[in-house]
Amino acid sequence: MRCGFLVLVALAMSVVPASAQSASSSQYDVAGGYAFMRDQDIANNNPDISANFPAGWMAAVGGTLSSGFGAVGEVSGSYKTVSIPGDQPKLRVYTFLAGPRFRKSLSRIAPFGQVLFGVARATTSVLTVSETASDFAYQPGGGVDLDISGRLGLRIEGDYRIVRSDGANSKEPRFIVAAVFGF
Amino acid sequence: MRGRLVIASTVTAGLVFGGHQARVRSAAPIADQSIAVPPAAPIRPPRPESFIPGIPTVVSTPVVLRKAIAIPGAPLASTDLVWVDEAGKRMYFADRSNFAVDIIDAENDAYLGRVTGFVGPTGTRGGGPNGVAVTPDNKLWVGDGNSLVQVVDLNLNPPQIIRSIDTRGTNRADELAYDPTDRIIIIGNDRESPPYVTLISADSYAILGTVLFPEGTGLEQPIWNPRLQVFMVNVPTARGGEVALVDPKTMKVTSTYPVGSACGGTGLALGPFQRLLVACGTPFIVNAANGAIINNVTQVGSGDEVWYNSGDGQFYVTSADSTGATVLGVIDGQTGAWRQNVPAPGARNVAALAANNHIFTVVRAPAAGAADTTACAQFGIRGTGCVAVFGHQ
Repeated sequence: MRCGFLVLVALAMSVVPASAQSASSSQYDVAGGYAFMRDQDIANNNPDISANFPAGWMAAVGGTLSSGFGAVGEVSGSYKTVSIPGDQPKLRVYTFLAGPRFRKSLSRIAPFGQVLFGVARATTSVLTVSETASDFAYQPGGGVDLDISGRLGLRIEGDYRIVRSDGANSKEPRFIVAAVFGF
Repeated sequence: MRGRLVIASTVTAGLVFGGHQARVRSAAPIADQSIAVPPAAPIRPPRPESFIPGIPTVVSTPVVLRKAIAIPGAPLASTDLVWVDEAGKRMYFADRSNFAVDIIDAENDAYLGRVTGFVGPTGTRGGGPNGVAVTPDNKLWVGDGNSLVQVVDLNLNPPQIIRSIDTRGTNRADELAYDPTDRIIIIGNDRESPPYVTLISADSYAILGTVLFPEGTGLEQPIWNPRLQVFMVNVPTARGGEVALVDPKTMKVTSTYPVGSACGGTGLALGPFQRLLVACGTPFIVNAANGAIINNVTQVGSGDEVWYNSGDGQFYVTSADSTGATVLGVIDGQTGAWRQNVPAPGARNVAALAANNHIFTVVRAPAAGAADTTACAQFGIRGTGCVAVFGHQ
């Protein structure tokens, strides 16, 4: 997936006009990078295993109007292996979200806030035996894009995903560090 | 093959049911069937512990004996399996001494009543009741003596036996499990030679077929594995314990996991992450996906029936510790590590309500004239046996 993102960035660079702006002031942006997630249900209900998902990624595409309002779509994946004796269970969480974003371009930085809606899909597997659940999710969050060089910038983002599962809320805070490319 | 057996069993079941009414009345010395046991109100099952499936809720505080529930009628000299119906929040146990299945309010830890009409300790073709299980349509299925499977409608007030199904053996019908996908009951005819399991439609009550275990020296606790879509049966053999995987569609054994070489298999329970507790002298933790043995718990024996409580993430067994004292053994469901032995003198077989983490064991009455040193006596219930209730501190 990371290779795919690099290809996407390369393609974007090849078609961007020379007059394109910086990452923080661009009208359109693509971002991809590392995501660290924590599952609060695990933290609250199971003290014997870590609630952290140390492996993860995200990829997002956004557009911003001159007023600062716009929209963003995001896909992400988070993974962990449960450290217990025997064949270790593997947990995977994917999300497919989209929603409104407000992004204000300042000098070399662009803070933003957004609320995304969509589907979260989780799978637990032991060897070839797996169990999957898909539920509605929404994810308020925000961050800042920092210009690095040319159209390339750094995105630092935090969000708090809420998954509606069987009438209750499962909560998954997340921290993201990503490369962002503006055009 | 299946069609032929269905036809035969339909005729047989009809004949047995016709004759069953007279036998019920003559075999039940306790007339407690008149006690009204209101149908359980539909209760929403507890929420799964996490959006991510299969992650257990773990409660690791110590387990202690909290209460004893007195059971009226004849002292509990002969009892067998225990079942907790999570949806109805009731506990059921096989009470041969009263020719009955007794019903406990598992939410409030109180005796509710009993369903009578079972064969009792000594039937011409084996005693009962033995195994118990409740299906989602609120039917209580019971392995009984005389090779019978009894179906109790818990929606009736009082609950009554509505079907008797003859599994055509020479001895008792024993422990059972339910496949909700195909709506099939599996029941062990453990004392036949060779032992076999009978598969019964939970809709038509027809016998769908049987599966023989030529090398089995008995048959013990079966369970349904919803992820693998197979029944798993603990099969004692001359070689030791084995877990057999039975496909309910093909009615064949698809795989066998050897567990322990010098032990007799008994209980079986499925925990989180496809961890099985296989009782074979001592508890073995086995990967249900491939049969790999993960751990062998040595601090406690394994007893007859074992249980996994999804409310606290623990396996429970009733057996002897290293001193020979009867205890309730607590084993971590996800790691397979032993956690605790709780003194439980007289306890036999166990089940738990996940909604409140109350753990129930039936404590048999001491022999007539013997001093009562059971868990019941700690609560002033002497000489009769009881249901002991455990919970977390």
